[in-house]
Amino acid sequence: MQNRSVVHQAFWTWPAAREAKAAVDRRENVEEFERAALPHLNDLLRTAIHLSGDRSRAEDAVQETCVQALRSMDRFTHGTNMRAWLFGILFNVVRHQRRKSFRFRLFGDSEDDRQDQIAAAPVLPDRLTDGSILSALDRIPQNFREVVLLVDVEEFSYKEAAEIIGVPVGTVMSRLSRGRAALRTELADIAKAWGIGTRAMEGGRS
Amino acid sequence: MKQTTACQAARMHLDAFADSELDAATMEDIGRHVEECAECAVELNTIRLLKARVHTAVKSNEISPEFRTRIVASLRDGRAPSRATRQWAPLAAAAMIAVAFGLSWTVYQNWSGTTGPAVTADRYVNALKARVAAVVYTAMTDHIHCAVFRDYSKNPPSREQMVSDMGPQFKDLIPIVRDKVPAAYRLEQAHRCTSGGREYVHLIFRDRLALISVIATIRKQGESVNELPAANQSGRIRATSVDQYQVAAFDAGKFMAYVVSDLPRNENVVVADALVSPMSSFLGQVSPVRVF
Repeated sequence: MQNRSVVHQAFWTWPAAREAKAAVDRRENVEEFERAALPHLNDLLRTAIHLSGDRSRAEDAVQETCVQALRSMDRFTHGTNMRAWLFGILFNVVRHQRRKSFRFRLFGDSEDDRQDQIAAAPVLPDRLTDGSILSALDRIPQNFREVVLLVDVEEFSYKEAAEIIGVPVGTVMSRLSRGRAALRTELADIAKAWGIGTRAMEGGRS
Repeated sequence: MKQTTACQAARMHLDAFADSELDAATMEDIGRHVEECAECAVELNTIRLLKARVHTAVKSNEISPEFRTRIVASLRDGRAPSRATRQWAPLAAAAMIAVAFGLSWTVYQNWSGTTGPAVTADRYVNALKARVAAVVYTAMTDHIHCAVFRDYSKNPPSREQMVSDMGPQFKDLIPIVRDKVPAAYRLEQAHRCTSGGREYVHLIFRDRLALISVIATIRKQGESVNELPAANQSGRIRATSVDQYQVAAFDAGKFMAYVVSDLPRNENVVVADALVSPMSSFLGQVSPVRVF
């Protein structure tokens, strides 16, 4: 009788103990992960906003990135670049999101149609606001925007950017040059539409 | 602009030079060339300035502390936004294939063309309801449904079509608004539409992917855009932003008028400001009881 009761008890407590231990392990993991990852949260979100063109989708993407990263913490090699690793996951998540659903806004992806602009990149107009820089950034093709965000904003090296996006370093270099040229073209267009930096309309619109 | 072969070689490497991503010897070569060549120095300076401006602009986007709280909460209970979707992905894929085969091509076309974006638009608009003022939501729902989620064909409807879509009462609003919206933007649509039991007069302008909506809707009892913060000295224009969209608004007699766009904030306000007097005087002579 006693024996049975022990067996009974063992049978019921074992999974509970395992769960309790798992909970403790998970809390420790989560805390370690938070210390390492949360400092990069805002940078991840800012990048995601410009990748998916929509804030709530960007927030979802960063949340998914953090959860996936936490789950695969064991695959992260300590001492390597946590920030680049997180951005790599973010790019995968966003790519998945874009494939899965209709794009919030359609961005051109072609690289070829901008090639001729490299030689003719215009000078940068003065008196441009942050707002016009951002809208120009959102108008250039996605492939170009990705490298501009990684290199110019997040200050990753070409090698890191290449690993995050999953392309060769040479591709990063060429996309970056074309991306910057495309940005300048967009900025010149914006400036022209608003008479910024042109003699005829120095006073601006009224 | 006269460019030498040295310039051409340097130009190829200027971006990488600005990022200090070249090998030591090439860095030195380019550095020397830039010291001697004023034109390449200007170009390098432009690249550096652009880098800095893009950096500052993107980083200036403030992230609310609530976002961090949300992430921490989701980490602690292991929730991911699309977890359920991913677990069901193989099943869902199988179902999709079955559906795609089951339906005729026309029906499928129809489905992907309308239901898809509408679902995402609805989701976004519903979420907006909770976090923006009612007078802002009024304009945003129209902009998102009618302008953002629209398949723009290569050729916009003819002017005659738009005049007839606007109806006799509003057709003369088209040239008035066209005149004040930046010339680079093309008029894509001018129509009357309804959403949530509310009627709108809506003009949509587009420049590639950037949109400007000019919207007018009848003010209901006690409604006024003046609850929004003033955007200019006269206080006539009220403005706010919702995600990447800028909203500028003014009361025009029995109507509320809005400019919702992807423009920078100031430029959006400038458009609204230019529209205040012509739109107010036009809408003033429309009898709102007989609008639709």
